[in-house]
Amino acid sequence: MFFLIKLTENDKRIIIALLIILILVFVLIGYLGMLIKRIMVFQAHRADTFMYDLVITKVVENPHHFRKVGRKKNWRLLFKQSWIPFLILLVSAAFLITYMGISGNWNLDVFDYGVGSVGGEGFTTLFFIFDFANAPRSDFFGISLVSGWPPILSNPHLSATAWPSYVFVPLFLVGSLWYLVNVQAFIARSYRILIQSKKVFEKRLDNYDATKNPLDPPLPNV
Amino acid sequence: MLKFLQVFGLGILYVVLSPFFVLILALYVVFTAVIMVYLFFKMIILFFAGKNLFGDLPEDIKAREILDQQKQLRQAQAMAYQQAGPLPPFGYGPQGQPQPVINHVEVKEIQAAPLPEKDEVDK
Repeated sequence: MFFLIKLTENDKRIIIALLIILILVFVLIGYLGMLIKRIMVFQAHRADTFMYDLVITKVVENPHHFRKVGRKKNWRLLFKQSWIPFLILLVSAAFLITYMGISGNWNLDVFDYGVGSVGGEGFTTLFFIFDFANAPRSDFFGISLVSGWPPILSNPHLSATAWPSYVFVPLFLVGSLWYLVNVQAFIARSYRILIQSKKVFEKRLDNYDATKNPLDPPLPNV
Repeated sequence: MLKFLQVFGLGILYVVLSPFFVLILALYVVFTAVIMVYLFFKMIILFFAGKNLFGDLPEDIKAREILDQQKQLRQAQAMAYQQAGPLPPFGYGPQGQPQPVINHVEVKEIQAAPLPEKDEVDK
């Protein structure tokens, strides 16, 4: 049985628009990935800095020794870079737990936005909240797609009961992002140490010439 | 166009591999958190033992000693060179004694013979 789809001019336009959007999204993700890769390459060079003197003076003698010293230095650098974000995370968590303990409100929802732009005890009271479940939809080849702006559940407003969330969420976000960047740098350095530990001690025979072996005894002067 | 397609392909690849990236990152977050706690307690213990967690490693000390020795050697050579005064004419060392100008080990002897006369060539 043959089933032919008849596309109207409007359908064709929508398909082209969706394709362009899809391609642009993938290209954007591609550029984002390339940017992250470049940042990681930049972060990894810190491993070269702290291993340089040890390599040129030949204090590190083999790949295993290189990795051992590199790992110690990498851990120390992580600790040096990350103690502030780690402390921020701990302080924010301690603050929230202390507040919940004092107020007796153990069900505090830091993402609560109130009802009808009034009240609420979460950080999301500061943002527009859309009701995506009831957004206008239309069918397109059997697929239900959002075809308009969804109704607003909550407008941005300040709520007095949400002050603990206003303190906790920004602190936690800053600490988390800062710590994640440091973890990313840690991964980049670990990988660089692994690669360099092999590369620095690598011996290649590509350009070796047996007639010019430096270990051969010199020719007698005739 | 080729570059655009490359970036587009990379974008698809990153989307496909993103769950693995997130998993690796999550594992490293846990691992580094353990390292942080471990180093924190180690730092406290070392502090009461009168030591510093961020002090130099034995390898760092050894490397610095070697670099210092090289630096001192270079300085001593530079001072000896300055004390010797200006160099004498070509072919003599700082104290005026003759010294080999050419590294004879590298010089190879060749079989040298006078060029044949033109008449001999014609014959």
